[in-house]
Amino acid sequence: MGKAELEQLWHEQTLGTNARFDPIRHVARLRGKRRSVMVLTAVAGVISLAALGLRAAKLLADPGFTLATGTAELLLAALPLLCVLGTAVHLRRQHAELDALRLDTRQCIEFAYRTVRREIRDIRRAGPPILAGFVGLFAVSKWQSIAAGREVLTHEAFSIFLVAGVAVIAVAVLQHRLTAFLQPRLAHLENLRQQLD
Amino acid sequence: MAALDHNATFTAWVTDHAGIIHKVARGYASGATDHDDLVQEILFAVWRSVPGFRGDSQPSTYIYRIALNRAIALQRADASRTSGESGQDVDPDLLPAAPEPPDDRLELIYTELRKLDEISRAAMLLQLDGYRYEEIGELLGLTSSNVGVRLNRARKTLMDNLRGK
Repeated sequence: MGKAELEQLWHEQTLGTNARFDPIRHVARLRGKRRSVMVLTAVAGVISLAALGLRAAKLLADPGFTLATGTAELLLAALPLLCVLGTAVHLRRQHAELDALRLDTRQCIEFAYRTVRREIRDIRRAGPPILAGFVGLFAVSKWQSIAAGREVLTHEAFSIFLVAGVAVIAVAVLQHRLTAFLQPRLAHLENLRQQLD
Repeated sequence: MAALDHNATFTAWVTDHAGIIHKVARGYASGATDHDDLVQEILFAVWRSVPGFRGDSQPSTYIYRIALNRAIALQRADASRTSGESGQDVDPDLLPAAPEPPDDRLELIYTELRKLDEISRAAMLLQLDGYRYEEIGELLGLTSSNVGVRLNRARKTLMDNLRGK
């Protein structure tokens, strides 16, 4: 195939309008999916905030409440809120990346590269201290409660296992996101940056 | 922009410039599922970008910019996406342009285009559609001379691969 034939074929592509093509319907479908995620996140945020507030109010009304003995309960109530905040940050990043599509390709790729790198850095730097702090505070709080005779170790074994399980799951989820999505995407964007240089 | 204006502008844009979305999707997606996903993602990105259009370029150039950026940024680092046929079994409702009769010669061009790196492929698509070096450079964030060098290399690779087929 020669250059002339290539250009002829290219310009002869059938580019009339497809009568069945309904762009608004397709956009509505994607918008619907994205809106559902946002609504669910917002609802989960309100519920988890309300649950945390109720738990805090209940603890403050308890005359036997001390910060040491109440921390574990507050941490458990704060856990869903932490997940919702993480999702909200992720959604905000997605929106910012969509807005960056209006820029030229180099700027768009740079923006996506910085966003993905920041997320990887956040997971690596902020993830371990937050998780360790969460588990550590919970453990100290439980230990103080048990030492003060307010709780019994055998009764609290379930919540200790629960928190340990949640921590393990959180690590696994973050690790999966890193290795399955973020690192391959970063490598792809790095490759694109090199192509642009 | 009112919702009605927004949707009307979007519909007019993608109807008038259906070919751009069609070519970008075929140029960057290899399988039918990839094609359908990419068309939907491009449509959504264009719809979302309608209010941001300042009129300092043609709508067709703006759509090309968004479609190419979406296709390039969405592309996974997966070699399997650079081969295969894009025109097979795609959802007819997701074909922005009128359905074409199967054309092996055209499919061959797309297959060879998909073997180029993402940035050269974008430059090549733009050049085939008549964009000048300066315009391509502006869209991709490259200098005109860089576009020239890149296009010469891409064109040579493409023609070498197409020669004798």
